[in-house]
Amino acid sequence: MPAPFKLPSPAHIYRLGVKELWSLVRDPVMLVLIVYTFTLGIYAAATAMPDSLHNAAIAIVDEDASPLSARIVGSFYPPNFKTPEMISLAQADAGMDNGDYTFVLDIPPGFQRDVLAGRVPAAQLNVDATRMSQAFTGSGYIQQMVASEVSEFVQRTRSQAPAPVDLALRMRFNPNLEQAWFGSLMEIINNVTMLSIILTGAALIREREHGTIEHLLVMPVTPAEIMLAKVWAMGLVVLLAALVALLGVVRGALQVPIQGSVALFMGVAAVHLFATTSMGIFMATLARSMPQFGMLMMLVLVPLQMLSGGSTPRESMPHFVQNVMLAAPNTHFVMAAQAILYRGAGIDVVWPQLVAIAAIGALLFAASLARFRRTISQMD
Amino acid sequence: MPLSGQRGAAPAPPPARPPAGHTPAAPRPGRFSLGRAWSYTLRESLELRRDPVRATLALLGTVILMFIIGYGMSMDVEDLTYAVLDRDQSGLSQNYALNLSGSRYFIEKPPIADYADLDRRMRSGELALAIEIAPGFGRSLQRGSPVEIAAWVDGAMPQRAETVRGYVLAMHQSWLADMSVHRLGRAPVAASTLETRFRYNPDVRSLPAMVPAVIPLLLMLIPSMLTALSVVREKELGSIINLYVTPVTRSEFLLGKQLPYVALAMFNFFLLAALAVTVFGVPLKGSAPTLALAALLYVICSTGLGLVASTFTRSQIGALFVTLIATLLPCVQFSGLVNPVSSLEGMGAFVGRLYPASHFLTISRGVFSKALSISSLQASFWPLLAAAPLIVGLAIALLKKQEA
Repeated sequence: MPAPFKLPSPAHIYRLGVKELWSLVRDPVMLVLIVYTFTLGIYAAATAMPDSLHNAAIAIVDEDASPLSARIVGSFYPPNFKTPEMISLAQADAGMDNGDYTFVLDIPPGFQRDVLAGRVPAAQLNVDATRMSQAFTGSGYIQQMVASEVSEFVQRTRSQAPAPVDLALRMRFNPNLEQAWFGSLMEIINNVTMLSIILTGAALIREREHGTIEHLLVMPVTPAEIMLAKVWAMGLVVLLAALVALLGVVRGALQVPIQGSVALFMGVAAVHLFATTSMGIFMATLARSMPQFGMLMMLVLVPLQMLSGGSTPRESMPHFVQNVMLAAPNTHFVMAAQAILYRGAGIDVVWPQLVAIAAIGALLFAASLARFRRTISQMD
Repeated sequence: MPLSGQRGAAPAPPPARPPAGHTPAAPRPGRFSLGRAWSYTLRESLELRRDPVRATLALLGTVILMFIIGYGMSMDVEDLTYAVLDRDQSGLSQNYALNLSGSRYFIEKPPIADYADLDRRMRSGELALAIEIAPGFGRSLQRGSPVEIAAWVDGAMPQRAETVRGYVLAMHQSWLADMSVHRLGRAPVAASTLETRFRYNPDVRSLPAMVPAVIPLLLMLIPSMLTALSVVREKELGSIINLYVTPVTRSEFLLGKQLPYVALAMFNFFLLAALAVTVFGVPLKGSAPTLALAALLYVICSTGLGLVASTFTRSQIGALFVTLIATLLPCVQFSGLVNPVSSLEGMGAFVGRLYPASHFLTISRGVFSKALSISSLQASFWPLLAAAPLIVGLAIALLKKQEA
């Protein structure tokens, strides 16, 4: 089917896109799922994530049973820690093995006596280091808490000079480090990517399996028009869903203050959607059937979600991974979204990300266009 | 295909229970027939074998994902960028800035010129930390009057900010101790000390903590996606008629279909476990049979979840979508991969406690890192043991023997 090259016609693109929208409207299951992912799904993800140190399970072995050890025990309370469980030394190992406690603090006999006598006794803190996220921050916290309880206790008995230099630490953009602020936005980004790939890629495979794509290919429309129609129609659906989620769930239900311009964020999201819908079409040209597409989608979505900087900081990834992930639109979208929504950054700050996403999108679009007619028209 | 559509082609209502004595050789329809289930196993294995791309994607894909997640997801926060706004420019203030730049956690950026510069660079995300030293810092310190150093941390990513706070506080303390040694000739004496023992993973490295946790993640995502289309695809392409019009029962049909995927997933499990021990060098401290038993129960759950998604949806896209929703979010966020289940809140905590991945994750970490035996892991085995038949039973219950 050699088609002479011609510029895509806006009318064709518009009508084909409306066709896409109708086929989505006629699929109530998909509509319900879309609504779920962008409302309840985001709410659940945002509210589940504990703030950095939240409800950490701690148990204390108090072998001293002194006023000082009681003070230390009393300093652990929610929300940072669970109310400490008082256990015996014998219970400590089993409790840690079962994962009941992340921390076990052992206050040795004669602790208070030794403190007062200036003998610098040592308490012992056991940390379950397989729980990386809490092990670090938690042990730092506990160290400080015990030290300050002990020094306050000592100061009442003998005077100590106050620290000469005070460090005033302030958290900018999220003063209480609330995880929901971060989690809700990252979940929107994850869902935007997931949905746009399903809606374009999987839908294309379906048309192929049912043979309806043949109808399109014999009509006087070009592959570029078919693709652009899918990009704008499905991009629009996801963009609207993201806007509802941002205003309704994130700002409304979760009460996250949005610093920057929602319009700018939507603009970046639109460019991102161009890239991800093109990615969906590209994946559909690679897969020969829906089961293959399903596999491919898992293999693409998991790294996109976990390594784009939305779950763990980019800085801590190996340089190789950091560089490879620069090829993913998500990485740039996460950077831009954080800058706009939390730090109130404007276009002057996020334009490099915008350019990167647009370039990746153009590349993916060109690649799928090149493969489209060759692979789509032949079924396996 | 061993079963053809002719035999049970009876008028409605469908022959859920054809007359007795209909097939003397086979057991009575309605009772579970291993033969019929096995024929579906053969059919499904053939489909898997004739589409090698899919099985290869599944096996190779998990291996690749294990590498990128194992190496890529790191909890050690390093290479943080910072800059100093030194409005004092005295020897002491420079000494303080120098103390930071010596740390392996921080990378120094050009000094901050003024507040506008500080604001702009923090907004763009260029700086994770900004330190401000007020004018007169050195002079006041010499005089012994109290002074303050201001530090701003980018809180946009809370977990990273928390780590930065810890680093900065520790460095501030060590600078104070240094100062005390230099100026007063003695180190400050603490009233007590706290010895911290990091257990199960003494070097607190990410890899030994992550790899045993990645195995449950991958064994949920990939096997469930493999089975997710197995039933609904037949619905969409029409071959489901074989179920409707032959004596095969729903349980024979589903269990028969599930078996090859369970086998593939177990092979996948052995592959991942072997990789963990050899390539990643994460020692398997506990018993391998215990881990394998748990993995078997777990992959029955994960393939079963795919079947559930496949039985109640009508289109392949719907099944894909449901499977993604039911596996990706709960696995990555609610099952203890990053945050322990006990710290979760709200709906996530509820899902996390029930979800099979949480329990297999506890077992996997327990066997890999803590050398636990099956008896001390009982609390996690029971839920898996209950979940496996429950999930498969749900799939059977949701499958219709005849389209409504």
